Amino acid sequence: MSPGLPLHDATPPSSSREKNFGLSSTEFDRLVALLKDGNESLFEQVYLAQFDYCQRKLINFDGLTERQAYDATMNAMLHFRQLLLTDKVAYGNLRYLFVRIARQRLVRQEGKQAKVRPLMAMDDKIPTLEGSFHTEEQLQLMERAFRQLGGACRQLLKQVYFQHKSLKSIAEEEDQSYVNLRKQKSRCVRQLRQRCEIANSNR
Amino acid sequence: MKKLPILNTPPGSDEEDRVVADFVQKLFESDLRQRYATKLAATHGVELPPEDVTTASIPNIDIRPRLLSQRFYLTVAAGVALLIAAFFLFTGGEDEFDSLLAQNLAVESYYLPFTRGESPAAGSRLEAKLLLDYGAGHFDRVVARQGATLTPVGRFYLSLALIVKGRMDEARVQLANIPAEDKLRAEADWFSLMLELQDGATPRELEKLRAYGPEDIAYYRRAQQLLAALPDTAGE
Repeated sequence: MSPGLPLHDATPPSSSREKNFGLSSTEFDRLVALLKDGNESLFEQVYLAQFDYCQRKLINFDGLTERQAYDATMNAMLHFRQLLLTDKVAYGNLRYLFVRIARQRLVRQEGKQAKVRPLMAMDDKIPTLEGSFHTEEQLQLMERAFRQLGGACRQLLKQVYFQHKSLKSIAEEEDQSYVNLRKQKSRCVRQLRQRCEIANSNR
Repeated sequence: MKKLPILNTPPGSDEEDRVVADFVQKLFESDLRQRYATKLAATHGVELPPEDVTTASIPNIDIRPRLLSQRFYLTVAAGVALLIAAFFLFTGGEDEFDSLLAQNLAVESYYLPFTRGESPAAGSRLEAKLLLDYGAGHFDRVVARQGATLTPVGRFYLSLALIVKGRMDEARVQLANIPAEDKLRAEADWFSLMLELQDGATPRELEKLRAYGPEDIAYYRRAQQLLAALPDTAGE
């Protein structure tokens, strides 16, 4: 065991670390815990260091242009972040998964025109978090409606939907009642909807 | 353009929740994307490569006669806005207060009539342009003049443009800087109050709403509507 590893860490030092961005399973758990707590620094540090590796892989093995590879890697990093927050990724072979997700995201984005090789059956096992379809213009209109909400509403919706915090944990952190917070969230969504209705009719 | 996805879902449904979740994720992801790109360039030397040029990159050009289409859309939009306003006024419901508040802050087509002598165009070229931009819906251009020296009229329309862009805190600052003796002060106070009510109706804001009497002809009716529509929990 290398001197830097904690005693309770059962991860073999060489191959597993290599496959997992140099992280032991304990360090990985810490990264996830920090991320869930709203501290993104370790996640950024680790994943940004892998960015170039993933990008090169897509250029050299899949024949993507630099720009395509950059965008695909960026999308993969953002998607990976969501998967980690929602406990959909476990310690194992994170580096491989990162590249596979980048390929998968590109295929989804560009459909049949994507310049990647046919994907292996294993890609079906990569977890996804697909949402509803928004065009760029729709996003801009909704963004305007969202920015018109009060600061408290924007913060609450961000915590719930972006940081994936439960209402219960937010209530505990902010010393509020769960029931009030739930009502507040409904009111915020209602306000967003109303502003969207107005934006839609003013178009 | 199709209806916004949230409007295709039943209010309070799981579907609505999913659409909001998807939107909020996309919105904040775009901020993150920017941050990652900056850090990548600064710490790892990975720059954003130039865009690939393909036929798909060439934008479609709208060849419809612009004025005609604008008039048509403006007429339709005005009609729909009136219908929605009428709906909100006569149907009531627990979310009436929020609807009224949203209507009071829907300032895209806000216009104050001016007499000949006090036309903002008489102020300076910059102000005249600012007002023209506002009227044409070029709110980004109006907001871009934020650093310039402006008269209260310019400042007022700048703050409205900031409201349209959702930059409420900056709008508050601009509204607060309209001098007390200026004719627009009352209007600025009204919008400041609407912005404060966005964050919750505390006793202080309710007091301000109640202070509008029948003599405040421009605001009294609107204030009364808001007070009548207050949720039960207001002022707590």
